[in-house]
Amino acid sequence: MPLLKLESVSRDFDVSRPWLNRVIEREPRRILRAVDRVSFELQTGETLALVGESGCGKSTVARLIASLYAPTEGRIEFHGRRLQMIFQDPYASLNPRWRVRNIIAEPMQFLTEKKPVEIFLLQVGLSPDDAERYPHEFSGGQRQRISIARALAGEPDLLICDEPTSALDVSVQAQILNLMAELQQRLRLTYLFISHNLAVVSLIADRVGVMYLGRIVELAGAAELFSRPRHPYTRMLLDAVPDLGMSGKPRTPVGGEVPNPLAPPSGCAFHPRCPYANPRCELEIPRFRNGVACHAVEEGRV
Amino acid sequence: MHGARISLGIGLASVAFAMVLGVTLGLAAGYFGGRLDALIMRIADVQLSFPAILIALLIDGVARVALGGERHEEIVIPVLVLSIGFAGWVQYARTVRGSTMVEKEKEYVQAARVIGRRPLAIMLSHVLPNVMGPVLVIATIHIATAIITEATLSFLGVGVPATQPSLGTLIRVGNEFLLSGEWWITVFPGVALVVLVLSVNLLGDWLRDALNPKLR
Amino acid sequence: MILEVQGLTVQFPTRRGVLTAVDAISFAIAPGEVLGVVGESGAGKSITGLAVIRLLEPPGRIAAGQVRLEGRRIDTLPHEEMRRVRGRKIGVIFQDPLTSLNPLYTIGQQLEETILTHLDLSPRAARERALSLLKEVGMPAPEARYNNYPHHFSGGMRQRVVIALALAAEPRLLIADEPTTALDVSIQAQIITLLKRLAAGRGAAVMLITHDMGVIAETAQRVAVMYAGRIVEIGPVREVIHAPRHPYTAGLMGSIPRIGTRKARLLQIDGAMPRLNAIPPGCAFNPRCPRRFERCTRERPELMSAGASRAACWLHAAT
Repeated sequence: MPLLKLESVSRDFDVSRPWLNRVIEREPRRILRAVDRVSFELQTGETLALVGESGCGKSTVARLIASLYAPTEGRIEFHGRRLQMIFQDPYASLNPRWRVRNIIAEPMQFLTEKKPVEIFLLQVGLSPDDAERYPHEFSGGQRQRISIARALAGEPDLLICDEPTSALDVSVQAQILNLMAELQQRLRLTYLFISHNLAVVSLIADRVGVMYLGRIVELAGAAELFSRPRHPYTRMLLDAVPDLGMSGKPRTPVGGEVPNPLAPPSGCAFHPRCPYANPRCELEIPRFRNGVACHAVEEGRV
Repeated sequence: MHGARISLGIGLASVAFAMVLGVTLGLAAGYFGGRLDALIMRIADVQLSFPAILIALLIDGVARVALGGERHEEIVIPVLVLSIGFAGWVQYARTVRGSTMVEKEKEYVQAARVIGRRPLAIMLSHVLPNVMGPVLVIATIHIATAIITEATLSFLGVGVPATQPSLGTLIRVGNEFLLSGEWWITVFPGVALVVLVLSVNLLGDWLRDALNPKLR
Repeated sequence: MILEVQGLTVQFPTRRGVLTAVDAISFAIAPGEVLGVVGESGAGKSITGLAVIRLLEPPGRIAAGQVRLEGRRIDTLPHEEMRRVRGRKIGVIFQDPLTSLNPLYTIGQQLEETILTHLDLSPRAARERALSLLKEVGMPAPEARYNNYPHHFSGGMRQRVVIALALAAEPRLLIADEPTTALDVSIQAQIITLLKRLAAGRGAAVMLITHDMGVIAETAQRVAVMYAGRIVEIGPVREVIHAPRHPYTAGLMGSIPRIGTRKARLLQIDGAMPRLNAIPPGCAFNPRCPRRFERCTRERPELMSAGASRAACWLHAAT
C-alpha cells in the first residue's frame, strides 16, 4: 500500500472581485484552477519531486496534502500517522517571538512519548545551547535547520518540503541538501520535494513529476527523466538550465512564457509554446498515459 | 493627586476594555475572514461614524432610565468607562485585523496548522504576540484621548460630578478662572496631564521593546 | 577599458563602529565585455555595483579608491554632473522589473521620456527609437503594446522593457544586478541570451552581478568572485569554473548541484560567511578553509597570479 495516494485531485480558487464590484461592473465570477486532476502515489522511503515554473500548482499540491487547503475534487489518501512540512522562507517559517526550544517542542504535544529538544538540535547539526535562543539570532541556513528539527520532532512518516533551499545561498543549500539526504537514510524518511530547480531535484529525487499549469505532464524515475525526457515541456525546461560545464552545446531558444492561468489555452495547455503542436493538441486535452500527457509522444511524433 | 487617580483609573479601565474588545474582534475577523470579517468590519464602520460623545450620551441615558436618577452618581464611572471603551475599540480591531491577515499568511502560522494546532491556540499563541506591538502604541496614545474625552463628557454633564474631581474637570473648571488671576487652578492639572500622558507613552514604548525578543 | 575601478572601498559608519562592506577592490571591464560578479548574500557584490554608479544609500559612502568611466573619474563628480553621466552613459537593470518601472505611465511614455532627456531627438524620432528598442529586446508586436502599462506585462516582458529602458540612451556601461533572479527558468534563458547579444552588439561594458554561477557561465567572459567584501578570485570564466584557484571558489563550484549527479553528496563548505563586524584577521575565509595554514590566519593575501586567473590566496604565493 502506498504511503500517499492522490486520485484526480483538483483545487479551484475564487479570485473574483468583491461581490458588490462584480454586480456593478457586471463581471462574472473568476475561478482559478490551480491544480487540475493530479494523481500520483508515493511509497515509504522514497523521494518524489514535483517540479515546474511559478504558477504550475506544485506548491498548491503540497498544501493540499498538508490539509492547508481542501481539495475541490478528488481524493487524497494518507496511510501514515503524521506528516510535517518544511517551508521556503526561513525568515517567515519560525515564530519570531518564540524560543527555539518551544518552536521545536510544539509538534511534540501531540505525541505520547516526548524526547528532549536537544536530540533534534543535534540531529540537524545545531548545538543544544541553541534551544534558549530566538530565531533572529540565527542565519538563514541555521533557521532552515531549526525548521527541519521542528518537523522531525513531530515524528512524521511523510515530510513535505516546499522549496526548502530556494531562499538559501548555494553553499548553504549544499549543507541543507546533504543534511536532508543524510536524515532520510538514517531515519527512513519519505520526502515530497517541491522545487523549481531541476539540478536540485536531480540530486535528491527518486521520481520526478513535471507540472505545467496545474497538471502533471510527465512523471518518471529521476534517472530516466533527466537522461530521456519525453514531454516537450520537460525537454524545454532541461534545455533552459544554464550549462555550467560550458560545453558550448547550442541551446534551442525557448519561446513564450507561461500563459495566464485564469485563461489557460484550450486542449494541451502547452500547445502555444510547443514545437510539435498540431490541430489535435489545440482541441483535445491529452490523457496521462504511461507517465506522460502528450499527443505527440503518444502518436510517436516526438 | 486625587484628580489624577480618577483620570488615570478611567483612562486605564476604558482603554483596557476597548483593547480587549477590539483585539478579540480584530483577531477573529482577520483570522477567519469571510462573513465574520465582513460583519465585524461593517459594525466597526457604522460605529466609527458616531462620535464617542453620542455613544456616551446614549449609554448614560439608558443607564439613567434603567437604574433611576438617584443611583446615577454611583454608576457614573463604570458608565464612562463603557462609553469611552465602546468608542475606542474600532481602532484596535482595524489594526489587529490588518496585522492578523498579514501574519496568518506567514509560514510559521501554516507550520502550526500542519502540526495540528487548533485555530484558537494558533490565534492566541502565535498570532497575538506578533500583532501586539502596534496595539500597545495605540493604547498609550488612547489613554491620553480617553482622559480628554472624559473631561469633555464631564462638561456635558454626563461625566464625573464636581464632587469627585478628575483632571479633566479640574482643567475645565479652572478654565473659567484663567484670566482672573487664579491661573494655577487649570495649569497644574494641565501639567499633570501632560506628564501623565508622556510617562504612559514612554511606558508603552518600553513595554513594546521589552516584549520583542529581537531587541533584547 | 570602459570601466576601471581601483581600490574601491565602501564603508558604513554605524553606532558600533565603521563597517567595511567593500574592501579595496579593483577590476576593469573592456568594451563589449561582460564581467560577472558572483558571490553569496552579504559578499558586497550589489554594494559594489551601487558604489560604481554612486547610488549608495546613506550612511554608506565611498571611503577610498577611484572609479573611471572611459578614463574620466566619476567618483568625485558633483551630484548633478553624476546624475547626467548616469542617465547618459550608464544603464541599470535591477532584479525586480516591477519596481524599476513607473506604474502610472505607459511603457511607451517611459521610453520616450528617457530618450528625449538624454538624446537630442525629435519626439517623432524618439518614438521610432522606442519602438525599435522594444523590437530589439524581443517584445512581440511592439506597436500594439506601446501604450500598455507595466502591470499589463508578464515578469519576463517587464524585464525586457527594463532592458530597453536601460539601453535607451546608448549607455557605455550596463550594470545588471540579479537581472534574472526573479524570473522562471525558461524566461531566464531568454533574458540571458538577450543581454549577451545586446552587449556584444553595442560594444558596451556589462557588469553582471548575480549569485547564480550558471548565469555567469552562460553570459560572462570574465568573472570576479567576491567573499566578505573582497575579490578573492578573478579570471576567465572557463578557467574559474573548471580550475578554481581559490579554495572558496572551489567550494562554491562543488556545492552547486548539477543535473546528472544523482544521490551524490555535494561538496560543502561548513559554516557561513562572517558578518561585516566580525571579519577574521588574515584571510577572511581561513576559518572555513580546508587548506588553511599558519600564514592564512596572520596575513591577508592580495590578488596574485594563479594560472590564467588571479586569486587572493597564499597557496599561490611565489615564495
